[in-house]
Amino acid sequence: MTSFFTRRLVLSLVTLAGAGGLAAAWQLGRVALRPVALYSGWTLLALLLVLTFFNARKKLPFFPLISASQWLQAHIYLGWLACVVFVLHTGVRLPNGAIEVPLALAFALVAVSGVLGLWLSRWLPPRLTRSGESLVYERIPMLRHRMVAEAKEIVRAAEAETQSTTLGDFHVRVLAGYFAHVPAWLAPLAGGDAEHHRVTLELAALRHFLSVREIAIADQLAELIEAKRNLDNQFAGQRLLKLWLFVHVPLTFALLVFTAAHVWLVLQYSHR
Amino acid sequence: MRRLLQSIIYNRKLYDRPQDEWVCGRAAECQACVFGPGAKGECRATGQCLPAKKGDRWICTRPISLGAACEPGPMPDGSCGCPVPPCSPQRSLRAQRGRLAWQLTGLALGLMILALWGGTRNQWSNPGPLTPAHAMSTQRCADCHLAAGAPGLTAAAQAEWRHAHDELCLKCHDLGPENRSPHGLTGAQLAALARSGKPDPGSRPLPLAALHVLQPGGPQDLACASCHLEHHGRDFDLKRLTDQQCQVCHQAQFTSLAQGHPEFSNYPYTRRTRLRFDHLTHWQQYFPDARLAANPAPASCATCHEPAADGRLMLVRDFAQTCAACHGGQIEGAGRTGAKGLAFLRLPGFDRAALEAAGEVVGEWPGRSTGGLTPFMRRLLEADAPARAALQDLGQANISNLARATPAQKAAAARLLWSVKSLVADLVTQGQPALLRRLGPVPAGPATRRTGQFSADALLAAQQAWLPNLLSEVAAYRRGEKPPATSTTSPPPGTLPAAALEFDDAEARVTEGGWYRRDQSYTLYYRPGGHADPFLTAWIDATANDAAPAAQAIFNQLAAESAPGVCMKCHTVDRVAGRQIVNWDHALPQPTVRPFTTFKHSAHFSLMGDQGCATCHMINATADHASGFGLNHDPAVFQSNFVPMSKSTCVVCHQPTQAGDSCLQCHNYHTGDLKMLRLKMVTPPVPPRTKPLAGDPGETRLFGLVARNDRP
Repeated sequence: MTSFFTRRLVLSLVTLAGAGGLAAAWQLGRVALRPVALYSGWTLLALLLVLTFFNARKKLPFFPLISASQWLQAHIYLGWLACVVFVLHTGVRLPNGAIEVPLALAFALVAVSGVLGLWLSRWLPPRLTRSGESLVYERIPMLRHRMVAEAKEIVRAAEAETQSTTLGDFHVRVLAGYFAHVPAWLAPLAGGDAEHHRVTLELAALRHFLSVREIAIADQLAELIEAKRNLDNQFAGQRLLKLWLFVHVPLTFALLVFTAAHVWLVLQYSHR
Repeated sequence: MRRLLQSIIYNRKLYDRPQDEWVCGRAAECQACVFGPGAKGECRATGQCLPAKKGDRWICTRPISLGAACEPGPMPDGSCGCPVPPCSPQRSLRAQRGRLAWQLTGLALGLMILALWGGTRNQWSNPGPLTPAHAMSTQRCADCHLAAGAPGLTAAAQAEWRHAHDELCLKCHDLGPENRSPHGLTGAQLAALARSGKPDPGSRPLPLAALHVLQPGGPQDLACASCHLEHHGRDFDLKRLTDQQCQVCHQAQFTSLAQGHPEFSNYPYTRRTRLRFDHLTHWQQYFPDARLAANPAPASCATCHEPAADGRLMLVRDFAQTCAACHGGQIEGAGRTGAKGLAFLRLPGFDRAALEAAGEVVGEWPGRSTGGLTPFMRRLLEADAPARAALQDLGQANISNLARATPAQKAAAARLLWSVKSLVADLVTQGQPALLRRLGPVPAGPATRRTGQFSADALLAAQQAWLPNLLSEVAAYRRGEKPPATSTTSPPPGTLPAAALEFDDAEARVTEGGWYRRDQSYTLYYRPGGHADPFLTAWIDATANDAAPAAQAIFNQLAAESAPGVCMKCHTVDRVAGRQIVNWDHALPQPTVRPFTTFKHSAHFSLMGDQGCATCHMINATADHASGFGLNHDPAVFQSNFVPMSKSTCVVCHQPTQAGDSCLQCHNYHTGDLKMLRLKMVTPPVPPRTKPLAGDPGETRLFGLVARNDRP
């Protein structure tokens, strides 16, 4: 079985060779006064359609095509190739047409979001795995709700059992807010678990004032705090892994619309 | 111990449907119903399960993940005993993304439809600002783009598409008859150039070498848009081409000016100078000559040369600033032996005795007149049908000795005599119009110049002295009567009554040029009045390409180097394609002519070293400069006073990292007589719906811009 490194190396080299070949052909065509803008434009259109078909392919699991995984590989490397062709097509020049500006902007955003998504999909999963239990993203709100209720129940039971309000006060002052807290969107990129550490330290400091029974309950709370840390990490990480698609996918469709308009204009007005 | 939040027991797990459009609104509160929302987002919650009927009893079917069978169990009517309050289903994340995608697509589509089919279509279709020269087309796309359709898919259809677009370009940019040919050259010229190419595979750049293999003849279907790309901004250079692009069609391809560019052959001396001037003899002999010290010798090249307004060509300063100091007097005849003027009109010496013996009526005619017809007279007489017939009938007979002439020749001589009288009478009585009438229509040059400021009064005075009864005689002759019985011999000249003051010599009285007469020879002269004398220049121009013998006689007389006025001492006559071109001017900027090679002198002044102009223009002491002049009229046959420039001179600075060595720095692509690279003053194609009214400010602005751009 081909290792990930070997596959990446081979596909990268193939992509580089393809990009080099296209750049050389573009350069030759330019020297030969051929309409390289037309040629590179048609190439870019073909690449765009192939790249877009990846989304359709995911919705057609019954279609006897190559696997989605292989499509993803093709999507990634053809995406890089499309960026090279885009640069050749525009001639490293900022467009200034009324349709070409949004077209180029859409392409740039789609490309950047794609690269960002690729990076996130390589960077975040190992971090999430290291963080702890893997959670299903859609269940996380429910788990958070359940965790809040469980923490409250533990504290209430502890108060009834020990006749002490120490843990109850601590819950009201610190834990209730901590468990209800939803991490910010870019929290995984910011890194660190400062809030978690603060709560853990406060609970550790509280242990000096707790009875033996309360310490046992505090241990349960500590487990919940640790689970909450993991839940937050999983939630924020997975949310980020889904959110970049909110830029990448919708803009792709807008890009196709702008591209269609651009092609129509070229066919109408091109001199060559 | 690590706390696990999700159950890993199969029947305790929840069944998630992330692909669904909607999710239960109570899912986050752990109260999601087992049914979930409907396809359209409606809540379908009734209870925590759908009780099943077993026999006559209803059984709870709540899944284990929700706590298995409930305590109260189903209601008697079969409804769930744990009813679930309805919720507001939420869109799933995936559905939100899809919705956003469709919204954005719809927005983009609507925007494009409005942009491309709305009222401001042209603005939206514009892929970028035009260069100022093209922006003046008042932004009408149809000025430069075909109105309808897209190109076909076949090569022929696409070629036709390109051709049609090029025709739109050529509506304004007239590139001459060979407008679709490279460099505007004919096929024969291109073939000659191809033969002269010396391929040097060693210096051929790699891309060109590759293309040479793939496409040996270069692109065959170049369009205007192959090189000139528009809509790239106001400051975009429409003529921007790389050196390799310039060479793609060429047989001889090379890397740079320093590497592989052919050595200059005779640059910049491609023809002899229009003015004959030997730099060598002047600098080495005349200027240092102490005998000529009275006249200021030039201190440097700049004494005689100055750059043209565009800085390209070096012009020769005018005559007064350069040659006049030494040669000015020669034009008026200073130091000249013999007549300083040109014999314009003369009473020729007819063999009066022979004519009278033959019974011809002569009338008044000076007995002592000698000499023949001047070339000018012959030209004027040939415009008169009787005179022309008389000259033809006369043949080779000598009018001053008709002893051996036939009677017909004597009769012709008599008719000629009367034609001369008639000519003189016409010139006396009608002046310059008579002269112009006899000269006939001449296409070039204002007619007044050809008269050379002819003075009818000067001739009148001559006529009164030579033929006092001429007018009455000619009048009678024209009526068919015999001339009145006056003296048949005109009074000898010089019989004027003695005056208190003496007359100077007639020639000396017109030192600044003009008309004078010699009564002894019955001749009216014209003495040149200085440089660019209108009489001489007009007659030389008028007769240079007139094939008539009389015209050629005048031309040869005036074009002789020793002729009065000595025009041809300096000015040359080029004989090109059977036509004679008199070079009155030195090389002048020709705005409509675009050569292959262009050079801007003024840009190089700061680079000259101690040698000044001689940095590039070195005198060639061995050249036989004179051989290019004299009897030679071919401008291409010459030996320059200067050594042709060497490529190495230019390469000193023209390197990629210094002054640059782009092809287009020194070469033009569109060459030839391009009145046409100027914009044609054509009525621009105006669509009917936007046709401006006459005097419309927009139209005025357009043609104002056209006029401003009326340059190559």
